[in-house]
Amino acid sequence: MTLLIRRSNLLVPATDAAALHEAWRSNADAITLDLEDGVAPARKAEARALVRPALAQAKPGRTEVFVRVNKPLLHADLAASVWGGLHGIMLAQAESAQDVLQADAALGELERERGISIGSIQIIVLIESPRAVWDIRSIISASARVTQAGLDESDLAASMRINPLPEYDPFIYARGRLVVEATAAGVLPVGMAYPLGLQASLMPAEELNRMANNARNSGMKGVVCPHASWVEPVNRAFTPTDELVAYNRRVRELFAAGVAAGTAAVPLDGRMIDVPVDEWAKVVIATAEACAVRDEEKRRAMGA
Amino acid sequence: MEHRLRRSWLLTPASSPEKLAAAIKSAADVAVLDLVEFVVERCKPAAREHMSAAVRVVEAAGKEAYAQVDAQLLYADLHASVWPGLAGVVISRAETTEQIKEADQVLTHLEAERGLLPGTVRIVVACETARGNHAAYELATASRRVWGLTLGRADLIMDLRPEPSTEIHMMQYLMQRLITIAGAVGATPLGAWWRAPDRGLLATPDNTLQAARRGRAIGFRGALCVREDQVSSLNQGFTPSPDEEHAATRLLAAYDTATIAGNAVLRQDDRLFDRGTARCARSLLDLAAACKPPLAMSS
Repeated sequence: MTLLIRRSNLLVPATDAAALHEAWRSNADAITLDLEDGVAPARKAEARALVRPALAQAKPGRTEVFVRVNKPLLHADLAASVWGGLHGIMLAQAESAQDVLQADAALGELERERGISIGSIQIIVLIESPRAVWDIRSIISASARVTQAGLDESDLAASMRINPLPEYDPFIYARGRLVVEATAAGVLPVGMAYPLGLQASLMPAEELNRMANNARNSGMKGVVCPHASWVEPVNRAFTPTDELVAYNRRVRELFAAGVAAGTAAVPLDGRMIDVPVDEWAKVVIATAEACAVRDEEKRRAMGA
Repeated sequence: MEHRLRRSWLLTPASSPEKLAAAIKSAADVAVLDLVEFVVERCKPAAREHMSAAVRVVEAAGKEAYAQVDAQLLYADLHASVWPGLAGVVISRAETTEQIKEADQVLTHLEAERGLLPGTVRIVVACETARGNHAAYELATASRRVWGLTLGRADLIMDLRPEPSTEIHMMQYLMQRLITIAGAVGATPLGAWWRAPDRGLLATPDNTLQAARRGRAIGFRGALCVREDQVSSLNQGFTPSPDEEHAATRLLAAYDTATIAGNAVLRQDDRLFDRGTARCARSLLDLAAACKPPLAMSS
């Protein structure tokens, strides 16, 4: 099974030419052209018209391109977005399986009409209400197109009428539920550590990297980035370090030697290596290899 | 949208006229006449006898009257409590949808018999046991009367002990799960983020204020307390502070200016924000406005 590597997904208002220019130059694994909260209501039509030219700018292999669509304007937004070069949509305000199925059906029709491989356009669902948190299982398993799921924490806080404070994380449960349900469904959970997921801000790269590490350590597989400066520290956090990979290769070698010698528990630096540790080592190594493949693909696309 | 504030719910034993007199003098938004926690078995018949008078006293004082009833003794407790003026009941240690449905039916019957408007007596479900929490969503949707959800005294009943950090084991999970369920069904989550040694809600006024502030920051709208000196702390903690109001006003002004200019992602100092953050700020200001005394508004 190939691992999907989408560490950083940089969200850019479709109407913000300068930010988009910066986004193409960034090293984001994916870029999401925002038609939703990042675009003022009066500029929705203008934003929509900018999607197709933006898709034409994308270098294949360099970054995946998504579009965040407005649920109430779903059909117009999809019609403006489903063209060659689009990897998927980010479905904001996913409230029910029905919402996902509607998007799924509309995508299918557009794929057919426009000669795009059927079922190829992915969906990233964003959960923004307590109802959707509670019903998350049916939402993320409604369509095989769903590859990632995350919370839109500021909208979720607003819909719960929460007055958040930076010291007290209101979404320990919601994020935990997301990670468990998404992982169980084979969907990648995405999100940033508190409070940055709820109150995005600019901060030094090392601080962002520490927060992204926290997110990874709580089960997230990537981050939707509100600013280009987040991309590098996020990519770094979700790419296993060389030291970690080297250590885990040693784990695998020693464990294999132990098994060959008739034991399934081998000491290493004061730790005991057993089956789960070996299984985890496999995950780390596979993730590192998949990241290396993705990074090589991006380098080639840049050179091309 | 409903504007009546229910930030502080003061539990008062239904059997004690002195306690009741103190409760109605307090600034509590709701007086909860208790037939469960503070009333030992042999005093229950006498406490039930007091209820109709107590409801009248609370209502005359301009407060809302709730009764706290035992999920195992619904018939007797509800017959004792449902009199004109009763706003609702807290069902302590609720565990099954049958209990909520039974309460609903008894309430319907008593409303008709005693001249209350049909369907007006509300239910607050106290999920205080593991079973109650496991079934919380089902309990919350078992009757249209369910208005609020609370963990009650789950820390004691479920024997959840403090961690060395003073947080109480499992409480963050249980609180946030219940708040999510309340949001999903449109009910009001009641509670505060208590820390040890404030077990059993025996908290100082200052610790109560902090618990209420933390509680509001994760979505609670009001909480139950047991002492008069905790009431103003709850009222204050569930009211946005002047600093919060100021920050929200400033953020909204920046957001509105930018939106008019056609941008919808904003930067203020090092913070980035969008519509969700603006919506949060707006709801904070709505709450702050609702918490202002009417006199202050007209002056």
